[in-house]
This record gives sequence, C-alpha cells and structure tokens, in this order.
Amino acid sequence: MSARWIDDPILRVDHLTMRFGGLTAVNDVSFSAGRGDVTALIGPNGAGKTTLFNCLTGFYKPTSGRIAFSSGRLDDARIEKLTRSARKHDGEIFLLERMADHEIARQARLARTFQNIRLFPGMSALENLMIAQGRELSRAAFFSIAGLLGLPAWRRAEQAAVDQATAWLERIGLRHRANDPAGSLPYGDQRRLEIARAMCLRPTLLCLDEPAAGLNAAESHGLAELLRAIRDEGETSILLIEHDMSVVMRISDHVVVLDYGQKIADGAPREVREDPAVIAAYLGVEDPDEPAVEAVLAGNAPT
Amino acid sequence: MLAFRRGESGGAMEVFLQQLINGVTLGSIYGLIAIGYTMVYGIIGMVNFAHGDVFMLSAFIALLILLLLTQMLGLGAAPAFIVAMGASMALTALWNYAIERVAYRRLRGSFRLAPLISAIGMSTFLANFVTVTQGPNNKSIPPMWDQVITLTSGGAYDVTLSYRQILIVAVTGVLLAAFWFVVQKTPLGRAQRACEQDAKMAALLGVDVNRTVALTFVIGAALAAVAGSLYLLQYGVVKSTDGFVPGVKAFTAAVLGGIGSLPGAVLGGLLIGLIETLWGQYFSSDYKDVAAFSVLAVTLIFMPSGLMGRPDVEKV
Repeated sequence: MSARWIDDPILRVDHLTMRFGGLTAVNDVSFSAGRGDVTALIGPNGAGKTTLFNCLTGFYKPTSGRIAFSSGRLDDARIEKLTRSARKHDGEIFLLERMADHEIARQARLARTFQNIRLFPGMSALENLMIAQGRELSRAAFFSIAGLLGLPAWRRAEQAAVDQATAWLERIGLRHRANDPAGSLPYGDQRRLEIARAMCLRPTLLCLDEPAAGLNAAESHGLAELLRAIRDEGETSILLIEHDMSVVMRISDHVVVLDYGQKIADGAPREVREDPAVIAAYLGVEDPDEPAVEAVLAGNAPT
Repeated sequence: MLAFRRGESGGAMEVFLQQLINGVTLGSIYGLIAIGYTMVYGIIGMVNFAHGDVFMLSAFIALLILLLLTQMLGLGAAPAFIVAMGASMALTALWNYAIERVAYRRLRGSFRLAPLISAIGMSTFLANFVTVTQGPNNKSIPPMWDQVITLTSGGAYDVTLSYRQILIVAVTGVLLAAFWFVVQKTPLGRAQRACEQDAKMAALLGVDVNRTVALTFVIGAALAAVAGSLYLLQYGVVKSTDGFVPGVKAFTAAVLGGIGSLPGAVLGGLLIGLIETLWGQYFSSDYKDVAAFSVLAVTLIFMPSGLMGRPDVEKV
C-alpha cells in the first residue's frame, strides 16, 4: 500500500525544534501529512502536540526547522529553491515558519481550532463565521467605503458570505441560533461552531486541537461523521490532535506519535497501535502486555 | 416635560433651555473626540493620552486651510469650510497613523504602562510642536454663519439656536450613523470587534491585526478632526494648549459612558457637555472644569464600568 503522506504530501515538517528558554517542547520533529488524509497527532500530555500546532499556524516562531505547505504539489526542488531565497512563498509553495499568523490563514489557507474553545463570545454565531470570510469581503468593501455607499459589488459579496455562513450553520444544526451570541450556546454547539468557522476560511488544511474534548459519546460520534464528510468532499485535508482513541482510530488515515517533544512513531493507525514504543509511551513503562494500554489504544478506554 | 412659562421672573426656563442647546452642541464635540478614546481602548486596551492633542492639531490644520482659502483665495465660507474639514480629516488621520506606527505599535506587546508613557510623550510633543510653529497665542477665524433662529421671544430672555449649532449637531449625527454602520455591518467593523475580544484568534482567521488597529487610529483621528473643525467654527479660536482640557473632558465622557462602548462615548459626551454648561450657568463658570473632572473621579470610584460599559471581559 502506498501512503499518500509520502507520495503526495500537503504539509512537510522538517527538523522542527521549538525551545522556550531551557525547555525543548518540540525536538527535531519531521513528518508529512498526505493530501486528502486525516492525519492524527497523538501522544501523552506534554508531548509537544499543541506547541507543534502553534508553530504551524504562526502562533509561535519555531526556533529552527522548516514547514513547507502547498495546495498544489510539494516539489522538493522548488522547496529547496524557495528555502535558499528570502521569500515566504512562490505563489504555490509556502514556508510557514516565515509567515505571520494572518498570512498563514489568508494565503496558505490553514485554519485551526483550539483545545479551549476560542469563539468571539460577544458576537453572534453568524458573525463568528463571517470573520473568517474577511478576505473576500474586505476586498469588496474597499475600506468600508463601498459598504457605506451600498455598492452592488459589496452587496453581492456580503450576501454570498451570509449564504455560505448560513449553509454551515444549517449543516451543524445551528441555523435557528444564527443571531444568538456565540458565548450563550451549549458547549457541544460551540465546538461545532468553531469547526464551521474554521471551514469558512475554505482551508486546504484544517488543524483541530482536541475537537472531541468534553463531548459525550453521541456528540463525538457526530463529530467524527462531520470530519469524515469534510475529508470526503476533497477540498480540505485534516490534521488533528486527539486523545479520544475511538475517534482517532475511526477516522484517521495516518497517525504520528510524539513523546517528550520527539516523534516516536509514524504510520497507518493499525501499525502505530501495535508499536511497542507507543505502548510504552502511553503507559510510561516497558510493558506491552498491560491490558489497560491495549484498551486505550484499541479505542475502548473511558475518557 | 418642559413647559414655557413666559414672563416668569428672570426667564429661568428660557435660560435653562438655552443652556441645554449649548450643552448639546458642546457635548456633540466631546462625543466625537470620546469615540477615539473608547475605540482605541477597546481594541488595544490603551488610553491614548495624545488624542486630545490630535484634536487640537486638527483644529489648527482646519484653521490654516480655512484662512488660506477664504483670505487668500477668496473662497466663500461654506465651500471653504467643507474643504478645510475634509483636508483636516485626511491630514489628521495621516498624523495619527504615523503616531501609532512610530510611538505605539512596537510597544503593544510590552508592559501596560509603556504605550501610556509613550502617549504622554506624544501629547507633549504635539502641543509643543504646535506652540513652536504657530506661536502660543490664540489664533482666530472670522465668524461664520452668525444667523440665529429665535425659538422663544417676548420673555425676559430670547432662546436662540444658531445655524452653527444646527450644523454641529447634524454633522455629528450623520457621522455617528455612518460610523455605527461601519462598526456593525462592514468587515472592518467586524474585524475591530473580533480584535477587541481576541486579537490572536482574529489573526488566525486571516484578520490583519496591525492593519485593523492602524485603521482604528485613522478613523478616531478623522472623527477628532471633525470635532476640531466644528470646535473652531463654534468658538472661533484655538491655541496650542487647547488639546489638554477638551481631551481630558472627552476622556471623562468615554469613562462615564463606559470605556470601550461606542454609544456610551456619545452619551457620555452629551452628559459632560450638559453638566459643564449647566454648572457654569447655575453655579460658577470658574469651576465648570472642576465639575466635569469631579464626574471623572466619582465615576471611577463608584461606577468604574460606566453607564453602558460591560463588566470586564477577560482578555486572553
């Protein structure tokens, strides 16, 4: 079986290191994520997963390493050429470690969600989605002047944005709450709204930090369905951090395991589940026969 | 209910009504300045102490252009004023953009007092810059639009409404409506509100936070320039130290209304304008500034989130 993350990656991380003072949170990590795949990033608490996410999305500037990303093909020769130049991108291949956070979202089209939900609580559900459509809208609004004058081009852009946002609200079952403040929605709805907001960026890569955290079994099942559907539509690849192994095993095509900031395993879910190093990392001792660990990795453990 | 009791001794009702009109006029100007304070505070949590001086600077720009157009080019009062106000808005906006870029942006991630101290420095710089280039004395324009509408007559005192006052209130009203539309309905306004709540998250959704903050300063300066032009029109004089007192009063208005709240800034402006004129009328005009500043102290002690402010939202 040929793996998409080797043949046709959308993201390639090379020797990424992130240090905070004396603490090395991510240590020389390299991996690829395949185009159209759901790639899961797993590992015990403190393994550096969220730090790695923060490097990808421009939240942190990595200490060293390279993050190449492309919506087209990630061609090695072109990546090398771009790395030698001082540029951030050549129109198709992006070097994320050189870009500011809003550029990564706008130009490379990486979207992310957070472990602790970060909606804009005082703004309505619809407006939360429309923030992510600023790229198209602000061009049409021309410093708000076209908006003030009510020019037809702006009205059309605004209407298109409202339609897209409404379609997403419909899809996550929140259409009837479009005008309610996002902060007033129940927890599970906020989680889905955050994913919908990220999707309104029309991302090529959607990075989800523990999307199933705090959800009950039915909700996390629904979430897995939603993510699968997003993946199957083919526009968006997914990279997710997840502790709920049932979700990971059900939807991911590729699993990367981190421990203490280093990559310890990388492969198809089935291979990773049986990897002794992974089992040891989850248990903390070298005892692959421990039934609890096997249960965790098989996706049956209580969360 | 206001009832006119004509011929009553001293015309108390007429005096009150006249001061109400004057207070609303002055309050409109304070409200326009207060928006600049409240918007900047909302988006980056900083009190821009130089904003009063930006207002003063804008009045000077309007004055110079107005004199140039009317005295040297012989333009009529109305077109000259419109051009002067427009040019003052553009130039003041440019100034404030430069101030944000040079004095505040780099300090934004620093400790909280750093941009504040920088703002006080910028305030001193602007006041002294204008003193040096324009001299320390009052500069005046010839009176414009002196016509008045007499609202009541026959009493002890005629209540009048000048064309200028109508213009000031009308311009303020139109601008506030346009501004409200921008904040509520356009991508820029949405980006501003998003940055207020969580700037980091807004950036991850493609909002250019630096650009949004810069545009906030530009809009705040443009509104202050309208206030500066109208102030010049109403009072006819301006001097280089005129930034401080109206600036602090507008700041008081923003605090009274609830800093961070736009309708609060306007309401606070009107209230401060009214408190000042009514105090000046009924108590002592020497102490009218004391009255306005007492409001600041009392608000901060007893009602720190102001009339329309929300309780502190946790900033991440």
